[in-house]
Amino acid sequence: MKINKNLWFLIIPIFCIALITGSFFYTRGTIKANEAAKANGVISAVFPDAVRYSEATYNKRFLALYLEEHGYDTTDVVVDHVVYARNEQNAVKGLIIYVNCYKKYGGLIQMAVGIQNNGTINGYTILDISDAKGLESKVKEDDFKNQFIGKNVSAFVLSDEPHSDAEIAAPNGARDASGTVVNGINTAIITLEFIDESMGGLLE
Amino acid sequence: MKEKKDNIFRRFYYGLWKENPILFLCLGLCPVLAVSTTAEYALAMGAFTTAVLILTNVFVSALKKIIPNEQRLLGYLILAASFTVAGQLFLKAYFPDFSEALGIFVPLTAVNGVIYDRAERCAYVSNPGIALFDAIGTGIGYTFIITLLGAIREIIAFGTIFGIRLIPADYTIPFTALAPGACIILAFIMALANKIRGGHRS
Amino acid sequence: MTKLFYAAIIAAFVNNLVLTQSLGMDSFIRNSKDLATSVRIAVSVLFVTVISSLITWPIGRFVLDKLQISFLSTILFLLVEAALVWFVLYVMKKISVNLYEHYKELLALIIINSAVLGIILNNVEVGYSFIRSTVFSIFGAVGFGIAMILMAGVREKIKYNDIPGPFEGVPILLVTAGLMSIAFYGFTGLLL
Repeated sequence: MKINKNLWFLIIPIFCIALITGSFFYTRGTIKANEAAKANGVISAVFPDAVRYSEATYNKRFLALYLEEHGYDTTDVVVDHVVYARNEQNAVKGLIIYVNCYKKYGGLIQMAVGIQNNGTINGYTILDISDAKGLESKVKEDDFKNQFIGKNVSAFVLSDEPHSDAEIAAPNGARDASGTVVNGINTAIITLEFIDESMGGLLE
Repeated sequence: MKEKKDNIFRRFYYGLWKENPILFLCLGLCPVLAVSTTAEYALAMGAFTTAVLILTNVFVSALKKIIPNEQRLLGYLILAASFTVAGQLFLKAYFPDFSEALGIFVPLTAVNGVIYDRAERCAYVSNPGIALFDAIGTGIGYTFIITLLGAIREIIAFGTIFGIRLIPADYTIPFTALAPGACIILAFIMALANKIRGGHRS
Repeated sequence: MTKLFYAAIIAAFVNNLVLTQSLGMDSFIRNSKDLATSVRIAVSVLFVTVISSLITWPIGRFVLDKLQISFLSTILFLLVEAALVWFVLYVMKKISVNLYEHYKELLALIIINSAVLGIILNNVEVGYSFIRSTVFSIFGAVGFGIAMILMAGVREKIKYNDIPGPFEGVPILLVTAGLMSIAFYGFTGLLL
């Protein structure tokens, strides 16, 4: 028994390390495939007629400065990366902008916004909502999403009784999440302007 | 203190009802209250916890000779955490929707009180066969109650059960989907269970 | 600075670990019997959470994220917590055996408290900055402590009330927790 008791420092950790590494390598392929499929699904959801796409290169610091000039707090909303959506002739039809927005009460919403050259919103997909407590999934619902699709405004704002295109009604109980989504979409609109300006009219 | 012979059927029955972890032993309440917003998620959480519970307890029991007495908590911890991590990966690969929906409570299964209580009371002192059935019984009991809670909350808060609409959405109380609804509904379920069992225990 | 202040209030009240996020419920229900125990648990949780957070945030950001193995955070952070508690108990044993006996069970139970692990996992997963993480950890633990102390107070008050038979014991505590939780949800109005 004495020999066994000293061996426990070796046996159990070795077993656990083997278990974890084994599971990791066994599931790695499937997880990668899932994520690739999901990324493609996101792109076709917000930009159905994009046949090809390519990563946009831009200066992140300049973008941050540009956003701050327009009154956006860059610690609350961070643009992760931007993708050009191209058609068969390889012309750029619009952008897919990946934004990470921090909610007012903590938590993070990651979304991809599809926006056409002229500034019309194609729609958005929520990639991840952290600490979703049941009610926040309302921002994933079509009722809320449809308020943005097809509109072309300089900035959206939440309001209780929407009169104009720019006003969005927040669903009951999800004010924080919807405010954050609106913030994210506004940031995407400004980012489009920035890319347009900084690329010198590549989009036109 | 064993009046009757400790066999697998007794253990199974105890885990399922007599010593149901949620109703009477009050263990592992965190995922129960937080995840049971819909019946589907509750069932998934229960199944995941049961899997980790069974694996951990069987291995604790099998390895009990080499886990020293003074450090058995550490032993349970390492095994439970390892199985949780392995389970996390499998869940992410084969059930990615559930993995996202259950969120942070998947890794938190590593510190679920049910696993440690059963390991301490049963797996560390019995042979793997008994530990296995104790874990299966406890797991099924846990899953059943968490799914029941999930079903009730889903019906009251969203009007559906497993996605099938029962009540029109206008008559629902979405507030029940939050924490207080869970606490109060679970309290009523536990009171009902106490009544059925007869007598009360504090 | 105001941002951090708001973050602190949010962590302690609006997103209260126990009452809103349902973490740490096990300790909350079972151990809040009297004020003394509750205070001890609150202090221990605060200490373990903050120190663990300080250690695990760098590990999470600079090791796990860079190597893309963030799933290991579950077991790694848990072991950090356990090591920390073991270290504290070791120091305690050297200083005063009495203190050690008092806190031994308590600190062992803190390791498997889901509030502590929950908050340090969340900080790394969502990717908050170091300052924000630390603020959330400190005030999250403070919120947990406040909830526990409130619960102990309520329990002492209802000890001599007439409670319907089947509700005696845990069910009435759950109802109490539910009502407290509704009260804490009112805090969301603070910052809207």
